[in-house]
Amino acid sequence: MKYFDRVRVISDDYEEYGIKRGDEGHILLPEIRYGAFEFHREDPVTGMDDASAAVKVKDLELVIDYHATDEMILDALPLKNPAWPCKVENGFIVNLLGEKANKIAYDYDS
Amino acid sequence: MIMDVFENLFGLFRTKTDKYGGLWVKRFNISKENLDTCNGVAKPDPKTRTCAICVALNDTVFHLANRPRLSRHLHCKCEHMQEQELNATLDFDMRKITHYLFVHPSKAGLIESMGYTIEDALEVYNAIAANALARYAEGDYELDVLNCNGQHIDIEIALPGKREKVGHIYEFYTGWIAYPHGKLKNATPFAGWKEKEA
Repeated sequence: MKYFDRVRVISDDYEEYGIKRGDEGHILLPEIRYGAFEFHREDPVTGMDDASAAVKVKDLELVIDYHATDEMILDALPLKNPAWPCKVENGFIVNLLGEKANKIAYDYDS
Repeated sequence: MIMDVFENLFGLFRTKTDKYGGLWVKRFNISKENLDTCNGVAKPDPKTRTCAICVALNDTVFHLANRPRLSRHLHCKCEHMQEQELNATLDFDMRKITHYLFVHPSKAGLIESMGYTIEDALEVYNAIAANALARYAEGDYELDVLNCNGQHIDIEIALPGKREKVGHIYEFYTGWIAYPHGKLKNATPFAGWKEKEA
């Protein structure tokens, strides 16, 4: 799960932002901040991105991988800093240096 | 001698009116933290007892007639300072056009319905960027959500149709976040169609 991927929200915690469980949308900022991606909900009728929120990684599941490359992600990261957490792989939040942010797989607070 | 005094007074007056006569206002408070220093997620500043929302708005610049409400809460420390010039800049990743707008099926359908193909990506990017800067400079934007990620604004884009769609004008909104010192960070290039007026 990373920049530009299509993802689904699997939590009810974002209804105040107009985002419900099961809503699909995209990750439109490359960096993970405080364990959350910037998620933009897509209106299934118009195709427009009509709502956004910082959604915790644990509350997202991948729908379509759009294969953003590391080079593309690095170029869009703040200050082009590869130490920013920016991908979720096999239950780990990782950065472009390969460093893991959580110790236990799928426990993103560990 | 008397004229000198008048000139000095007039100079003082002119300086004051210049200083306070701009169309732009920068919101600021005593905190040194802002969206940039907080890497995009504002946090309360315990040193100055400034709340996260006021940190998120610190050093942002808005049009005098279209700005977030000044006092958001009791004991708010924010103030406005008028600015003569707007040095607006965009943080707008070209890949949001080349790797999002023209690639994701739902979005590609929209942009292709306007007559554009991937070869026109730079043209679309430039049109959105130019529209956004111009309308921001005119104060022609809509204030959207304000949270610890900043003040979100929607800017209307008028994109002329291309190829078989020449003659059509497509009006839609793009989503941006107001960063300090007049910088707009693009959130989404497609935030919604402009509703047709009755």
